[in-house]
Amino acid sequence: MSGHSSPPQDLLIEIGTLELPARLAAPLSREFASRLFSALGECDWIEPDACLESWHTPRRLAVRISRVRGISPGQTVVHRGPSLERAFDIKGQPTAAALGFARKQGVGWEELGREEGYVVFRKKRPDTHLEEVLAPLVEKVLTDLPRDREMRWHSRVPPFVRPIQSILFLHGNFPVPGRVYGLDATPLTRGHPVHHPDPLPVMSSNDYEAVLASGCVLLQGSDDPGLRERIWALIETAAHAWHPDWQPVRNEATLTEVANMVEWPSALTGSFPERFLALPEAVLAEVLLGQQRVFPLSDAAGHWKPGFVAVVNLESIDPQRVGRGEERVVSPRLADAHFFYQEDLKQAPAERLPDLDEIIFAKKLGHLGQRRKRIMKWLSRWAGDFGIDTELAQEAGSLVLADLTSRLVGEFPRLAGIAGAVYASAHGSPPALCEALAEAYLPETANSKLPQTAFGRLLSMALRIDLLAGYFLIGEKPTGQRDPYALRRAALGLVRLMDPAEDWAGCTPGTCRFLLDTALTSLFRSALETYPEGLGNPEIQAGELYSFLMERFRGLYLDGGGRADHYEAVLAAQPTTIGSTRLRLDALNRLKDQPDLTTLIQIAKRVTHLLRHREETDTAVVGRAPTVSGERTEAYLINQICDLEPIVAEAASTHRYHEILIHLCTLQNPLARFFDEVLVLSPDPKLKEKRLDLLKRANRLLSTVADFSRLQPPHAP
Amino acid sequence: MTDFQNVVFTLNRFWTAEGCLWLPPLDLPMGAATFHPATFLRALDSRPWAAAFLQPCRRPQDGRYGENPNRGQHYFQYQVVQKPVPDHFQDQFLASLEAIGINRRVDEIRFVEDNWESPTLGAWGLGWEVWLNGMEVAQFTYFQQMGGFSCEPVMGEITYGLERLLMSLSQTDEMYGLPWGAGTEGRIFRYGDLFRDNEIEMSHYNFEQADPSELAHRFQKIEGEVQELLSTGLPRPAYERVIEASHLFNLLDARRAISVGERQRYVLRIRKLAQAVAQDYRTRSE
Repeated sequence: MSGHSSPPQDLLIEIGTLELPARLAAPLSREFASRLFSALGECDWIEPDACLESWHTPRRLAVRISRVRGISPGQTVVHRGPSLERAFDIKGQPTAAALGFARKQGVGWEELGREEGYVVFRKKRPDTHLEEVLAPLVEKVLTDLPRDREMRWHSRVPPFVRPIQSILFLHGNFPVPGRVYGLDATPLTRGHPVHHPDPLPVMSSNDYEAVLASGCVLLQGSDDPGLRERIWALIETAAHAWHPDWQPVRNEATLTEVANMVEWPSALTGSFPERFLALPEAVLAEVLLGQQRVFPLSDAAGHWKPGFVAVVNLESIDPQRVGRGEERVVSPRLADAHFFYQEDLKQAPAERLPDLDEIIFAKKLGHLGQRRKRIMKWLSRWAGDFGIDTELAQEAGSLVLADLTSRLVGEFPRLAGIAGAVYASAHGSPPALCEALAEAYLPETANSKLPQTAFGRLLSMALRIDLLAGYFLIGEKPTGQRDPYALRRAALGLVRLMDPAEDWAGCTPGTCRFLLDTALTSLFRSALETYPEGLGNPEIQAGELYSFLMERFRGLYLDGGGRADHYEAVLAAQPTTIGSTRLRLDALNRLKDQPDLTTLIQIAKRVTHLLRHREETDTAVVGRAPTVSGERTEAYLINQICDLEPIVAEAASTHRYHEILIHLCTLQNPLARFFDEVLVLSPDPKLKEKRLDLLKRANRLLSTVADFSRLQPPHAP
Repeated sequence: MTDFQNVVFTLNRFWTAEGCLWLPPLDLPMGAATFHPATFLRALDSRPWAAAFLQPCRRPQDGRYGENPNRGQHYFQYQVVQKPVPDHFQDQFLASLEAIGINRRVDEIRFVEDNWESPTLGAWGLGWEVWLNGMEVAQFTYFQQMGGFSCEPVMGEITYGLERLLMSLSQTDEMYGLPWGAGTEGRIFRYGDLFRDNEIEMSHYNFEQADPSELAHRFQKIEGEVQELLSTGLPRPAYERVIEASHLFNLLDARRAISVGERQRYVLRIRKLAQAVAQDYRTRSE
């Protein structure tokens, strides 16, 4: 039995599975670990200073929590019996009442205690042992883990991501019995399926990493890039051993995926016929990195070479044979891509346009031909203001969907945009247009690359705004976990396209102004109005879309370490664009620890408070007689406000919020004195109205950047 | 000697020893062994089932007039289905690969996420594509849904792509060069000796000669027949018509006789038929 009276020990839990999807292993592992930690913590099994480690490989999720108790002491319950007077006679002998009570508790009367004038029985509930709770708790955490699709494999166990094959529980040096998903927990783990097929005993939870290494399994820490870098070093070594001048092309997504597919990695090389280098680099990259998960090679000048490095989950006794196997896949795939590419080139992009009428964009939203027309219309409205030639923008809008009917995109959907650019270029479209087409789907994911040209940015905005507008009109907004059309991702991308904290590459000052000034609701309304009438109310949906985007921005801002109260305060000032929201937040953040701003915020809160609850609050100054100095103070405040209003308005028109905050700080003295010396809620109704109006003006001015009343005091987090 | 016919013999022996029933292929053109009633229909009821069989498959769109080294309109799948799925299904599969001569110390086998879906059959499953030195040689799937119905118990399916498996095993770069087996006087027949002419002629037929209006007409007629057969209480003949409809659709597609938009409608029409058959079969098998 685990050492019940011994100090807390490390608890090791490993869930052995069949191969987990590479894209899910890391998030699953993180989520499993943190949920397990909090579930154990809630039931008080973990010492306060415990720490949590977690790992994953393609075939396991593992967690180690330090300082877990083996036993949870049962609580003592006090049962109260009769009063002492009733319980004992004058000789101190128990009465029938006391004996009855003792009998009910199942003990002799000698075991009863005395507390506060009553006889009591203190009953200790039995201790709980870790083994009684661990298995059900682990099973619950596993069943509740979020996942996109779950697999059923056996009628008697709940679904999971992939079949669960083994369970390891170890508390210090002791196995913890239990059954999870129909499997008995053991102190055994599994090594590499080829290099170490036999079960591996783990003697102590601290030996886990070493035991697995002896079984040819490298663990990947949930937040540790160590394995990735180790694999990258293997790739580089393999490349240089083959051709000292060739360098592997690094790609984080593929490297991460590969790291999640191997337990005992080794790298080997392969080649393909040189003629395939004639394919556009993006097509080569899609075949090599995207499909085959092998790394292309380039020379010092960055020209790609007819070879690659593959990472395999085996130390093969004949690596050349494995390499030849990889070649046997890569070459035909490139041959296919080459064939599709050549076929597609025969047709001019414009010739494909009629096909778009045959492809449904979305139920109730018509076909892609209609989407194309809407995008063109939207572009014709905004391109000029954005700083792009309207005619060229229309042309881009016309062609941006054309490649969706090409054979290359049919085979490699991720080449949408890039394929269109290549074909447009081959048929004589101007380079600026082709560059924009290539960037029309950027950014692909939350962290990935943004367009490098203003034109590409505009086109990407057009596609996203049309998409969001359409789905909102037909009421297909994401709810809870459900977001089948990935609208959140589309919106997050749109936010990033308009966020000045991102790189606004290729944007002229005019384009930057457009991004900072053009109200989100206008951009959406003009897209909503390109849809047929009767789908939904454009006015209402423009407002909904504004909130939807702001919500995405909020997530982005908080993830970047921003303060929630800053965000709420700025949102309350009703910024019309993502850009002006970001710049206001930056200004607040820059001044957040300045005493001047702190004082200003306090005064501003007083102003808002007084305007909101004027009846109750102004009693402090009620009854104060008007004085000469009071009138001077009032006049001084009026002057200050009149001076500041145009200055602030001008600075606001170009989003110079830091400057505005500095200016507003000059209001703190006049306002403080005003509160000290002037009776706002004067018995004279005229004076009262006048002074309240003055405060309203002050409040409007103070709220230019943010609603200060929503800010937490500076010491709060 | 690793040749095509010996691999099939070995797999037959291996899987029958594991408790699977050996079955003949179905004598109808189909795109994948999943269409075989031993897979589709048997996945729909609740009775235990285990079978292994070779199934010739046709995908007219994949024809390359015999010129592509590893793509053709006609190929062979070796299919294993088991219900309920044994806990050691993956180990069985790995042992079957060793039985046909794969040395796992030499060749890398990897299970890569692959969520299988057949829109025409109203079916989906979760599992893996199996890579042998980077080449996808098999699919390993736990069916979750078939004909629109949740599979209970779940059926597990392994589909070996025999040509690719053999290319990797025999280190052959071209499908048509694969050794098939020894014939009269020990003469070695190659895959191309047996099937290349067929591949060329069938490519011509599929891409150029098949009569689209005739195909479309037949397709339409089948829709009525399926309803008719189901109302007469004949789900199995009705299901054969669904397989036929699916192949007609593939031919129409190869002839480029259906537009992109129509394509989706055809898929939905077949799915409707498959679901009707599945519903009827389930009701009768309860």
